[in-house]
Amino acid sequence: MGEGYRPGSREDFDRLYQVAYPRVYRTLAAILRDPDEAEDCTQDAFAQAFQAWSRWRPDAPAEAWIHRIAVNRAISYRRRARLRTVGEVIRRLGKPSHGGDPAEIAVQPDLLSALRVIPPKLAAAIVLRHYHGYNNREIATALGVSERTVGSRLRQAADRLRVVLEPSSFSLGAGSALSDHQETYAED
Amino acid sequence: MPRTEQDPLGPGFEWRLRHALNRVQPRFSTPRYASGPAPSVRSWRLAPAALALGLVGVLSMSAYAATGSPNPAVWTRQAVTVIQSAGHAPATVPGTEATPPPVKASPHAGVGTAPTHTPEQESTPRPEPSDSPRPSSRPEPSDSPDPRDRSGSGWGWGWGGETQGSGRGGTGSGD
Repeated sequence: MGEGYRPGSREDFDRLYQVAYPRVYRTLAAILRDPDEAEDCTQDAFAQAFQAWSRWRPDAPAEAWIHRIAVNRAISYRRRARLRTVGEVIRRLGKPSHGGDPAEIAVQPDLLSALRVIPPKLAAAIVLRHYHGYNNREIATALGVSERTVGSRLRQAADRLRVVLEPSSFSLGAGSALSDHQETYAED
Repeated sequence: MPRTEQDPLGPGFEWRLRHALNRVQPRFSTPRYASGPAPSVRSWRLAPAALALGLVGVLSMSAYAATGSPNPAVWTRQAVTVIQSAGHAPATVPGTEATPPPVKASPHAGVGTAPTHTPEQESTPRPEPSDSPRPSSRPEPSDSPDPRDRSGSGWGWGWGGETQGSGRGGTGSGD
């Protein structure tokens, strides 16, 4: 992560934007369903971060800090969007908020779709770990939780993804890999 | 050690995730922070001052429209007049019930002069706290003197004439 940022410096914030914007955007693209929503939340997150930029403390990585703001925005955005959808309310009557939407996966069986149907906190943890290469401490900073919680979320995310991806993953040829790792995970 | 969290989904998963997310091309639009947030914060801080200025402006315009003068001293005088007349209103309101008969009683005498007198009345009664006719009109309940006044000269006009006279005298003596 490119550091050396000075709190309050406009030039440094511009530099941070150039470096972190694509990465934050991709994180949110894995959480939100629509690229427009991802862009909107990312822009909002940077705008909010800019207002607090003078108060940012360099002891935490700037990109993780931005990620925290962005993920929180995405979570509340997705929550509001779900509550707005009448179909979602009807679905909630039928079953508890657990698992993904198999219909969506059946229609579009890719990994991003699977990530978008699991809870955003879990999806964010997965992306930060497996795409951005954050360690548990950095994820904890980015999500504002303890490292133990990060481990728990990663395990939950793996479980959920496995459930969501398994029906389609056989057709994609990755099913066996997931099944093997399920055993590894069970030993944990 | 971190591999324990990576293993459950495996290297194949990581590759797929990278592949999927690398295909996502971020749209580089104009940074929103560059245009929006900072000025909005400043404007919110200045909002009370702007509101106060707006209110002062509106009040000034309405005062100017009401008095026809841009002089704040005139506005103040007019405001005092209005307040005083409002304070006297309860005394005149019952009088208005009594006024119609006199108007009818002397319609031909005052029709032309009525509009010319009233503005002077409004401007003069201020120093006129003497308001001599009013005390006499308030004791009306006693009923004996008032009917005479009313029937005599048309209470409204007679009062106006008196106020004119006493008003001028009042201002002269008062000042």
